Amino acid sequence: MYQYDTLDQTIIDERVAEFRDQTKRFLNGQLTEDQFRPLRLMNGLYIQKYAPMLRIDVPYGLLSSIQMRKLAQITRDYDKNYAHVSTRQNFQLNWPELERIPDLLAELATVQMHAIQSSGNCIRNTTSDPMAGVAPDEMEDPRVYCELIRQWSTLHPEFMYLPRKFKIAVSGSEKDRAAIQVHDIGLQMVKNQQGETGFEVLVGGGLGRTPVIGQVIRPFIEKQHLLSYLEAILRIYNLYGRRDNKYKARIKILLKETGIETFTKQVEEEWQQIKDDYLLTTEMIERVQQRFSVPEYDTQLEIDEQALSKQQTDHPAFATWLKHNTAAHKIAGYTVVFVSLKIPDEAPGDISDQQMDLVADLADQYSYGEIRTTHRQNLVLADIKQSDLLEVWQKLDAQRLATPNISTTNDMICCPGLDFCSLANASSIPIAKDVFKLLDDMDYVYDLGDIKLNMSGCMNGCGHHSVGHIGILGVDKKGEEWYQITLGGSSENDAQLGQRLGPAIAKDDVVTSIGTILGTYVEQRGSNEESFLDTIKRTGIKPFKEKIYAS
Amino acid sequence: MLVKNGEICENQWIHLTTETIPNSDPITLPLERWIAEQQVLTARPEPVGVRLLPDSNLAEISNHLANLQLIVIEFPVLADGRVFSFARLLRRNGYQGEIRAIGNFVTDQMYYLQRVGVDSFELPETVSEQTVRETLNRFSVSYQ
Repeated sequence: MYQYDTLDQTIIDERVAEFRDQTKRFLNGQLTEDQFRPLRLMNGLYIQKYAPMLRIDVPYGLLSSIQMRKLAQITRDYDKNYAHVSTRQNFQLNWPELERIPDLLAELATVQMHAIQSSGNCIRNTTSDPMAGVAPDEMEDPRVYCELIRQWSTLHPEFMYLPRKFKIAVSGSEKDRAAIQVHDIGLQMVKNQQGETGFEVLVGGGLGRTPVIGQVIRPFIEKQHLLSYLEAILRIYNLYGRRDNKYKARIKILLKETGIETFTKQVEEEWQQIKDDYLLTTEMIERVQQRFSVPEYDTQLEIDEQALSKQQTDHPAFATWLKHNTAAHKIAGYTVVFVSLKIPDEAPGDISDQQMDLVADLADQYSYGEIRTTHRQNLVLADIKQSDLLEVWQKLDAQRLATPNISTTNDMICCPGLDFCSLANASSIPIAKDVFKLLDDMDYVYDLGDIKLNMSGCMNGCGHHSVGHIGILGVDKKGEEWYQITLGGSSENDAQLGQRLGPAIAKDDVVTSIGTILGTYVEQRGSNEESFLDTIKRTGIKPFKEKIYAS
Repeated sequence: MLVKNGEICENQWIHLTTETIPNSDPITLPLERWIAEQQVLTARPEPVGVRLLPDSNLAEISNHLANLQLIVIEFPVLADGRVFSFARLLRRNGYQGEIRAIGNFVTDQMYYLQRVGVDSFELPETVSEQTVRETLNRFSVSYQ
């Protein structure tokens, strides 16, 4: 966990004072709605259908137990006892009152949290791998660089009024768990021929109305030049990104219209001007590194496989959970535990105050006081000793946090949709709940294997539908909710956009259609081992299309 | 109201668009007219500043930075951030004269503008001195 120093704390305290002043001036009429809008947005505050929505940053998805408890308390004191984990690894509150938000932010600041740039046309929360620091295949912990990027981008005087929002993701492992190819800038840690670690720089990825996979503009940038290179990209974007049409304002459109060669040349020329003035020195990197607390792992843990096996025999449900909701840890004897927020009858990604308190307690007791959020809207307890797994499972299960469905079709990404969001064309939460009902036979779900079902209530794509193995996009047809289905998308190393299956489907038929798609996969797969995505790659969408539109 | 280097002061400059250029007083002109009438303007004894809009081409004035006393960046709307990069680039290219913000910005942006190199602001008379002081000193520290 990164611990704030005096400078970090002063900035967020002074930011609270700034926002308190802005809110006061808006409420007493000194700021118009048009003037207040960009100011509140860059502090995470939307005005939604029923109430303001406040998005609280969870930098690169890392939370302490103290922060989690504070969030739980805030949902009790300012909201309706629950929060929502977003695809940018942030926390969202759906019911705070505008008048009380400055106080809410002041409370967050006491636990080193804020809502700075969680929305608006500025550099957003930098996201990363939920397994950062514990993944066996990692080169280096990417969170140090995420924090450096957080600091560089926070209240950057030049880049607060960009053409459009700007998202950066960093991966420290070869296996991309941070969806870096669908970000405005994706940074992939790589080694050069001399064996030095640096970053491959991708630009122009993004979801939304015009989903695009990012392109490499520089195969290797040394660590010392990371921030100056980002600064050069941002300056070119700020100067030349389109501002005449907000749907064409993301950097992906600039890259497309300028052409990757010219764009890269512009960035490189700008970078040459600034690279020597803005070096990220080893001392600067170490200073941030030292502020991260490192778990004191017991490297001599006795691993009692027999005991674990007996526990699994005694508790079959534990065995199932262990198989689906855990992953290997880099240190022998430890396990990464996924806390599923995909609970039947609940909105995907929602978590109650009691559940937050429990997760905080478990983190303190078993996982060095740390919790992570994932872009698939779950939580992670990263450092659980194998001997504690049974207890952790029992406690999670008691609060409905052990649904054994990670990476299954039920582990849906889902935006708040028409139920909360004023941009939405269609609802997504009720569809998600119906998917749970459709797929209540877990043996069937496990047989289907790894299927990523992503759902957005409008084409802005908060639910990452374009890169879902199955993507569902809510559209409005003459005031009615319809759904466009895509197949074959991915946001991992094999990132690609899903192909449109055919005309949109009426609300009443969507869930049945998902059932048909899954059934068709079972019929079409070459063997039980051929995954959904591989099957689509082999067969194309035709067999699925025929089944869906035959009737 | 003019705020320059944090102090309220008197504005000497007159912003002209298509009006006849007076013989006295420092004036500013839109970039297009400033380019078109360059020859006449060079002969003028009183200083002439130039006004940039977010879609102006900064390269048009790059050879004149040493001779300019005032470059104005104009905000048609508050959220067009290109002018923030203009100010930064002007300073990097060695411009030492005054950079002034006018138009539809809000006082909340002054702290950030000051940090990219803007040193004066024209504000509506309704803005209080206290607001100016508070906003310019909003943050005591920064990351960049």
